[in-house]
Amino acid sequence: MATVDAGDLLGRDIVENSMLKTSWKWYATFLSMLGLFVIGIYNYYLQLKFGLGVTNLDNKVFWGLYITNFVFFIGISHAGTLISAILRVTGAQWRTPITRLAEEITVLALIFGAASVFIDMGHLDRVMNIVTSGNIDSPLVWDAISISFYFMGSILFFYLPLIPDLAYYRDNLPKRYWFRRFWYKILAMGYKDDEEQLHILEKNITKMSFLIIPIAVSVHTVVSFIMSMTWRVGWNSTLFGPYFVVGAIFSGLATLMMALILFTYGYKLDYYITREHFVSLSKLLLTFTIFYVYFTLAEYLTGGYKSEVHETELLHALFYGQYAAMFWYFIFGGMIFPIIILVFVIYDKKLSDRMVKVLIFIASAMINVGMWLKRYLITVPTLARPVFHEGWNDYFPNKVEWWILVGQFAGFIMLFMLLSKMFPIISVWEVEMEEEMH
Amino acid sequence: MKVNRRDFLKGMAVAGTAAMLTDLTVFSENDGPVNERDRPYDQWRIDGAEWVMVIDLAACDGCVDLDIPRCTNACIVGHYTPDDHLYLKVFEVHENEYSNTVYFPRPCQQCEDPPCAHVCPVSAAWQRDGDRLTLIDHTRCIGCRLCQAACPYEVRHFHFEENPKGDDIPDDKFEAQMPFTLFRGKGVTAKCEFCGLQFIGQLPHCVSACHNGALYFGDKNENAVTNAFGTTEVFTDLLARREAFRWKEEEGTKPRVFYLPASSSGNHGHGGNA
Ligand code: SF4
Ligand code: SF4
Ligand code: SF4
Repeated sequence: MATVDAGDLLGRDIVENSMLKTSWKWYATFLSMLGLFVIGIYNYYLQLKFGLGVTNLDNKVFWGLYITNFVFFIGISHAGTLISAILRVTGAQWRTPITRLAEEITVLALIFGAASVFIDMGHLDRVMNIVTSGNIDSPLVWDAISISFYFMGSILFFYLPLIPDLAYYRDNLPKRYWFRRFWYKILAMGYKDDEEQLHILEKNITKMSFLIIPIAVSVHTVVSFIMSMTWRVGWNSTLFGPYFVVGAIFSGLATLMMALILFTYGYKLDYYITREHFVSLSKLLLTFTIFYVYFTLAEYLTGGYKSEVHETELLHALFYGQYAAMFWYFIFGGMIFPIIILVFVIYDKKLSDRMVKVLIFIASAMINVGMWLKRYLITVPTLARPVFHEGWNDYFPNKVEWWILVGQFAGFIMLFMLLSKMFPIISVWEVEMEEEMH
Repeated sequence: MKVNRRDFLKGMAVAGTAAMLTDLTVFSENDGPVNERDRPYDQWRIDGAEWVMVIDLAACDGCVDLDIPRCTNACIVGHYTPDDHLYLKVFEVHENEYSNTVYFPRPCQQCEDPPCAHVCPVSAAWQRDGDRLTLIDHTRCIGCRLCQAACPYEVRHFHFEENPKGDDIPDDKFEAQMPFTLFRGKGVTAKCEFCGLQFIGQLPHCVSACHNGALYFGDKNENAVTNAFGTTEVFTDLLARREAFRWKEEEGTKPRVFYLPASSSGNHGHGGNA
């Protein structure tokens, strides 16, 4: 990255550079992520060997950090497919340079989302029981079905728009990249850049866009059903499906923003991804932040107003009790301050381009931390609330759980970096087509 | 070449549909949550029976003279469960400033319509045919704990660690699956399964252990329940005479554990709706 002076590079050269030239900074980052990932794996190994007893989970709070991660990762998976599909369907032209990154986030986030459930399971070796003795009445089986469809769909949706780029690099890379050329040749499946093929491809991409939207919506809805299909105070809510879906798009967008900014910085993509993109995305993010504020208000107000004993107990713990710090961070750090920052970014034309990116990055990071905490606050307090006069459970994740969390995030970043080396991170053919049209 | 790609895209669509249909056929083999295939405890079953427990809150004194109530202890000893896994827990309840302290024993409520069985992704938590006991297949459970989330009475326990007393379980008992709920290993849920001792002509461990005879057990269809003193009551009469209630009736679970209020004036909803 640092060794490549992209200052005078234009168009494809930038993308080629990002794929083919690898700086020491890249290696350094990659290796540190790999290190953290390995520590995570080691901790999972401990858990596998000695049982979930090595965590701080217990019979009262039997879901904790892992389920938080599950909801979080499945949430950010909505970045990609859904956002890029919605933008495709609505014909938003500025989307072209960002779709590839968005689609990559989806695939990776789904992998780590599914992994979170696997990590949480007491008997991973029996996971196939879900297929062989699956009980269709179970929300978890709905999850399994819906997430596998989404996963297959997202891979397709990532792959289809990749074909013309693969074909291009199959034909145009220098001979010494024979290894890449070999794989691109297989993956491009004989695609030739003629009118008819292009037409078929585009038609199918559009079909996929329409198909993937309902699947994505179903995914986060059934994820919420794991909780809202139970009697538990704090989960027993009809709002959960839509609340989760909006939250997913919200945090997905924030993640996409962070990735965009980091990649723009690291791979010098400013030629493709300009201030205009960031501002457009900020508008979208702002809209979803406001949606989320609205849903949050609706959820807590209806719960709190009736002052039903158990609900009140829960809300007290959130507002003034042991979860208050997290809760108020979520309200202010996760929603209110980001709104202020985003409004500023959108309307203050005097801000420098660099400043715009810095501010958006801060807002998105705050949102993501807030949304992670929000998932924690959905999962844990409901379980920690006493049924009888037992007192509140004081679950807090321990070292093993935190390391596994770190490992998951490191793994996510690591694979993301790898993907950016394997495939062009900008859908170059689409951008070029658009340029021709203008 | 173009044929290739067109075929591929079609192929993907076909593969997707096929995958969906396979899933559906696999799942549709099950007729609802009950799925009888190589189930444990099958040799211990009396079709047509319906086991019930009656808990007399007026007679239960919470065993305050001991560290662990007698019923709880008998359950732990009888099933070789880890000391902190209380399949039967006795709560001290003080509902509001006007009410007296009541001791409230909580076994699995053996719901007629058990939410735990509905949500279990692999039907490891299932309600069997015949006597319709809600049981757990420890060899099938994947340890997802969804059932724990769904049980309104929070009676299900997850074995986070290897059962430290697993090796103490005599092999013959373990193989005969008598009493129920004997468990070695880790990573699955377990709970009160009404012992299964009734199939060898005994009362559940907890029922026999109660020094006040506060727990009764029996077959609803024989309309008789018996306590530790051997006192047998006509089930329906006892319930009517003592204005029995079921816990969290509003959940629609139709428990088969009946509570007799501590005071004769009726003490409905005792234990709260928590
Ligand atoms: S923990 Fe076991 S019994 Fe409970 S729902 Fe999961 S698989 Fe079923
Ligand atoms: S009390 Fe809980 S574990 Fe027992 S049958 Fe009912 S739902 Fe299942
Ligand atoms: S019936 Fe058996 S398993 Fe259930 S609480 Fe009593 S002793 Fe324990």
